[in-house]
Amino acid sequence: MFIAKLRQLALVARAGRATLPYPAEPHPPATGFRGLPTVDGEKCVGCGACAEACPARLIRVAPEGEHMVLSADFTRCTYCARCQDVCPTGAFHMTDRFETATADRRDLTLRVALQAATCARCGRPFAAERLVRRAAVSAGESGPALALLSLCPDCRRQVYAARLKGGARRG
Amino acid sequence: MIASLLTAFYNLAFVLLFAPLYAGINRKIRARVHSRQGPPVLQPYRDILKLMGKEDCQVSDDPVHRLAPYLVMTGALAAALLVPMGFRAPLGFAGDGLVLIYLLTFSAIGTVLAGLSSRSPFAGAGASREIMLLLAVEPVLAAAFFTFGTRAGSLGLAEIATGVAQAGFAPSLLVGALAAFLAIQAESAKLPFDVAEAETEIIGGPYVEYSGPSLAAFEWALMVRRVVLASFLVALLGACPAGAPVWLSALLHPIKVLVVLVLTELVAVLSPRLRIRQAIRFYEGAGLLAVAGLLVAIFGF
Amino acid sequence: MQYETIVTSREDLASEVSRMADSGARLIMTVGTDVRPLGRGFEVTHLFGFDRANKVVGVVVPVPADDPTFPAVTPQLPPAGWMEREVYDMIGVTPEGHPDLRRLVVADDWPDDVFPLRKDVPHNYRPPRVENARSALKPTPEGTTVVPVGPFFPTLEEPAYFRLFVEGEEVVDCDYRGFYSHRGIEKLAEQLRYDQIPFLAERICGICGYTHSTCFSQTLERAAGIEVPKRGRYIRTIMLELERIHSHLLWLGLAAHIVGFDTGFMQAWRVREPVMWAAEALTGNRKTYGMNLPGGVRRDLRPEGIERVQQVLRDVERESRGLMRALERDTALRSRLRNTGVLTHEKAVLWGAVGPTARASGVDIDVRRDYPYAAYDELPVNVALRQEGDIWARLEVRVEETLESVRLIREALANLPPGPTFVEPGEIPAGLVSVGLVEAPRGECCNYLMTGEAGRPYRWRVRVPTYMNLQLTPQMVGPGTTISDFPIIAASIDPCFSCTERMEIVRHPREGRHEP
Repeated sequence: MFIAKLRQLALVARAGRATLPYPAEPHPPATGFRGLPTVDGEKCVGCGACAEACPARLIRVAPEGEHMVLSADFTRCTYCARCQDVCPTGAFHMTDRFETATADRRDLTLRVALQAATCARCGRPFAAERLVRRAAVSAGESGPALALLSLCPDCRRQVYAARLKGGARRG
Repeated sequence: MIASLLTAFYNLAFVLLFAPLYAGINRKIRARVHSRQGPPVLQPYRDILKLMGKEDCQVSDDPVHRLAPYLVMTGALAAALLVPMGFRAPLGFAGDGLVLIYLLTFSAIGTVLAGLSSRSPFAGAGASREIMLLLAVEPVLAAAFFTFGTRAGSLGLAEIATGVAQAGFAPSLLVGALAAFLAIQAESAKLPFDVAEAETEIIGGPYVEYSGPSLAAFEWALMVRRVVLASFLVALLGACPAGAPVWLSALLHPIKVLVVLVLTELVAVLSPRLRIRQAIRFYEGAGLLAVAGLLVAIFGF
Repeated sequence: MQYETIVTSREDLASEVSRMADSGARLIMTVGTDVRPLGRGFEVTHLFGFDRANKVVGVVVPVPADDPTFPAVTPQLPPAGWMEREVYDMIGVTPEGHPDLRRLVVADDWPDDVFPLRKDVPHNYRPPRVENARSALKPTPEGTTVVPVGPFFPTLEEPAYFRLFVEGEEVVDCDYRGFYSHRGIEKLAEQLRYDQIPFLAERICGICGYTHSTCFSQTLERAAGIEVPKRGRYIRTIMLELERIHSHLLWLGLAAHIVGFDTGFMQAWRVREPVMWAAEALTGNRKTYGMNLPGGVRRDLRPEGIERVQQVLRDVERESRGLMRALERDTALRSRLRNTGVLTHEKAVLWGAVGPTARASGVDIDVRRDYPYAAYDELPVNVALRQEGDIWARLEVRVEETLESVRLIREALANLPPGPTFVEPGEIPAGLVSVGLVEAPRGECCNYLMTGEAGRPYRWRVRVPTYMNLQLTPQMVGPGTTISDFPIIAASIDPCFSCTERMEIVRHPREGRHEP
């Protein structure tokens, strides 16, 4: 019994003090720490991959007036970094911020408004202009496909279906 | 007369004002054993003040329930008046050691009454444990006290202090001191014998239904009790040379009390909690030890 | 692991179950599924595990939609007790002959005729408020006092309600109401895609989250025939064992705290803390590693993280050994834990105990060895076993497992194969059924998955180890158990209430009757 107590005392003496001086001194987290996410508005193209991927479903990418708006409510964020994973431009990325306590929910909500492109046929805003331009660049300068890019998904379907019908009749 | 009033004032001021400091030092020691930083040493003062400002929730109209914390405090303070704390005890008289033990028991009964009047099963469990523990521990304390009394030839604390110093070292005193120390561990409600207040088992036992100023009174009273018990042990051991100047013994007393309290804390921090039956069995053993010491003292050793 | 299905009828169920039990199979899980939208009424599946053969057999009982009853197997197999009640509670199929058929999971004021996991109940259904709903609790036996351990109690990490009936210090009888933390995770998962569910699964538990995300991913991978690259499997193993280490050290601290030994508590957690920092360096978070996706591990281990883990392993090994040496001759601690909360070997087998609780009673089961998953087929595990079945034995088993985990991680890191960690799963068709088993720190965790349309599950059932072990806690409450012992006995199974989200009735009359 006494041996156990002596061993315990020895263990305690070896251990010393484990308390960190935080918050009196800052304690930066490890590299790669998944802190509060944020969006770099310059890079965002409004593709909505983040909204699809987020397990907490707190991101919404939808048209609002003449803008394509990404809105995120990080009060429900689980810091999983899927948004960062899937973002094609690196706009959505995790910071290392963990001191996010606030009395105002708005501190944890984020909005990115991008100029929306309007459909050449029906005039509805359907995607961010940046996204359309980016798609055009990836598609290259080849003909018929390029014209379809300036159409909203519904019109695109209708136009493409008409072309197919026409093609079937011809072919 | 004036001297008695002054020493009475000193004793009361000492126990009331220093008790939280001792508690704070002990918490710091506990924290260091835990590898923690621990709260500031003055934290118990802030805790008491904070509690005094909080709402006192009434759970029972039983007047005993309201009074219980103050019974504990009164018993402890009355006991403090009997213990020499560097000066002559304010109320010293022949045989006052026994009265001291009664007063300490009285203050412990306050805890029991608190538990019984709380109408909570946890408080009731705590109260019954406290009674069982008291029944096991008091004889040990008494036997140790009688050992010292036998060696010094008197049951008055002042006489014991000088008598022990004159008579010098004796094996029975060693046994008596050990038994008294063990008894104080339970009387102070410290691990491994804090079974009556076990937070992880019965959520604090007798104190579970107290809040605000009543809880502040309880906490403070418990701290005071510990200081008085330590002072009692220090008084029994004498330890101050018989011809020492008063100011020296007055200065040394708080330090001696600190040593005793730190020892109780070290024992506490390295011990798991015993079950009530285990604790009772332990004190049966300690009781045998204390009685053996008494017999040795009676036979002149 | 081989999974086969036997479809039987309600009439033949009892004999089929006997056949399983006689051939040495162990009941792992019972699942109820509402397959009315698929035209098949309801379905109850009992999963039996053949531990030595790496085989799981699902005994499927179709139940007609217009007569939603099936014969209960609980009288034959006590571990089915809660699981069949949950089938009733969630799907509304009644197990006939069940000795204690009360609702298990849902709140006290939930409407009696709404069964949440039925397909016609929307996932965001909110029942009308009921004032003053009371729990269905047992009446207080004569001459006893009620000591309510919970729902708020210092030693319970989460709300649970053990209603103890005591005479003096002795616990005579007990009632339990749990599932305060039920969050409807299985229903929620039916709204999410497979690539989102591992993150939900990780949050089932605050300690063993990675076990859940691995178990789900594995179950889906098995269903769809996805072969996770070797490196991914090794990384999963490393993270699983890292989780085991920190979970066991956490338990050690809590056990010490409950018996009043706060020094043991603080020192155990001090030893544990570097593991959390290492996990943060490796994965970006102390506990929710977020590494799993169906198809593998989404990020590779960072080299700085690996370095750190090696250092942490050295420290943890040294400190754990030191801690154990400092505790093993502590007679005061042993007097609280030795011969307390004894679970005999027979009862452990009868009641389907799993994990360290079972292994401390001499039941030699460990999913890592019996149904190898991740990289355990190449990294064999030395299973820790004790015979005494008391709390001290459970402590020894957990400490031994911690050291074994250190060894396994070192071996995995030394043999980490190169290559990708992840393979894209592609489209996963509906109607696939699969089972997954993982050894969580607390024991065997089982997943049942039926894939659905559009990349979402049709049915996902999680049965965690604490679910089985909580059911058998009354078997540990022998005569003479006092109020002092009860919290540590309950804690000795390392209960994870948020994992379990379930309810239990514990009955321990002095006569010695025990009921599910």
